[in-house]
Amino acid sequence: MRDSVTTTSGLLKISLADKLTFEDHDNFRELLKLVSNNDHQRCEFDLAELHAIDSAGLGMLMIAYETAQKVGMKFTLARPSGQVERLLGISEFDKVMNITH
Amino acid sequence: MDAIIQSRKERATITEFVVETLEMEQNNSTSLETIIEHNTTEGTFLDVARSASASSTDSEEALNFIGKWLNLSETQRKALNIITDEIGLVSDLVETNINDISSTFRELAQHSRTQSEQVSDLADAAKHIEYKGKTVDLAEIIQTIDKHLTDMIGKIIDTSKHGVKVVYALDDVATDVEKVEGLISRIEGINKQSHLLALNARIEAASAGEAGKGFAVVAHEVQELSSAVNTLALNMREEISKVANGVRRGHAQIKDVANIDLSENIMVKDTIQELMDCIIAQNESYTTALRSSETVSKDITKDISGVITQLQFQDRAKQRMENLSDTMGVMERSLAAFEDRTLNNCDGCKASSILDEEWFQSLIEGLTLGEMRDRFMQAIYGKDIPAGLIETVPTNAAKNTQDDDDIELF
Repeated sequence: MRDSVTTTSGLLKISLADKLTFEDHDNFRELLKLVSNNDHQRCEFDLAELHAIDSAGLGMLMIAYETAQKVGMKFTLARPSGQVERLLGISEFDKVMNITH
Repeated sequence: MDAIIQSRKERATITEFVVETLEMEQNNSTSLETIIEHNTTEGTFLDVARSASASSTDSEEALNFIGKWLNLSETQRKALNIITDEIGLVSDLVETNINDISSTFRELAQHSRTQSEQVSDLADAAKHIEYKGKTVDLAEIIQTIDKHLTDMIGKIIDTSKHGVKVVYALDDVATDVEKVEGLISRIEGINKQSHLLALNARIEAASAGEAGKGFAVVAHEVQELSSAVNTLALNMREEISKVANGVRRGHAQIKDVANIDLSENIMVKDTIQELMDCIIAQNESYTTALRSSETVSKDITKDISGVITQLQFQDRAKQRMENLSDTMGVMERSLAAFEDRTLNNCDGCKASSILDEEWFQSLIEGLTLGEMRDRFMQAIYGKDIPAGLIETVPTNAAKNTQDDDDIELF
């Protein structure tokens, strides 16, 4: 997984690329720390460049959502595509969190 | 020549009389006796016969002519009689067959109704299945499967989430254990220094002699204390080491569990959903076809009922044939009465024994059914059928009707 973080006027934007699997859990934890710092009103995970995800990856996105919820941040998964979008759809993530296309 | 002209006139008069008589009899407006009386009074037929007997030559010719006429009348009576019988046979044949056909159609209608009901049941059953003695709707089953799959996927996501959380927690525990191990190392270091310090103090106390005895006791106690602390630190290190090893093993195992990719299992829901959609589409297709078949069966039943109703024409046909038979009977009786009157009123008149076979042969040739032909010939000739007629008629008739009695039904 590759990641990049940008912040603009109350928005913490975390862009993920390549694939998100259990192997990335250490790196992902660092991103979670950014979320839990509660420095912004909104948190967006941009998944446009993320091409694959496994069940642990889905679990990590769910942890990110819960972390943001805990600190009162609005949470969004943005622009998922391909296998990632399909898995998010089957898993009905849209019933839990906001997903924009 | 005059005689021939006269003969033709007489024949024309007789023919007109017969036609008139038959028409009047058919109209049933005048009795036979009245007709004969009327014609006698008017001096038509019998007068002609009587006047014809005035001269001997003409008389003989007239008597021959009347004889032939009487013979013709008798033959025609027999023909009318056999026609009446044939009409009766046809009526019975039609009635029997129409009754059979009606009965068959009623059975057909019943079968069609049964088929319609069975198809209807089948169409209803196509939407349900029997499960543990209960009837369950197919759409409900699919909804249930979808719900179970959604629950299962939710649990997979939840398990993955908790797996990662446990890994994070054990990461923290491992870090904390490492910190504790560091602290124990520091305790051990301090304790080592304390031990050395106590040893130095004892050496210094021994050098001081009597004055250092008290200090030597304290130094000894400190050394003992240091040894106890050292033993405790060792025990702690051992215990912490056990805990650290347990945490590391657990950490490794939970990583293995969390690393199992269940995304393919999640994808199965999509496949199952597509299969279910296919089943529903196919089921709807079958149901539509069955409903259509049910409608067709109902239409067939309705059509058959219509046919059965239309077959009631047989009643009307039978009545008409009975009317025809009655008319034939009247015609036959008219001819018989006319023959009697002729014989009674004409001295020397008698029916010719020679049958005019020309018209009868043409009549027989027109009959294409051998069985019917035989009955006609038997009615006219009895058992003495002329050999020439037997040879000629079947041959000519056979040209038109090969195997006419053996109707091939399909």
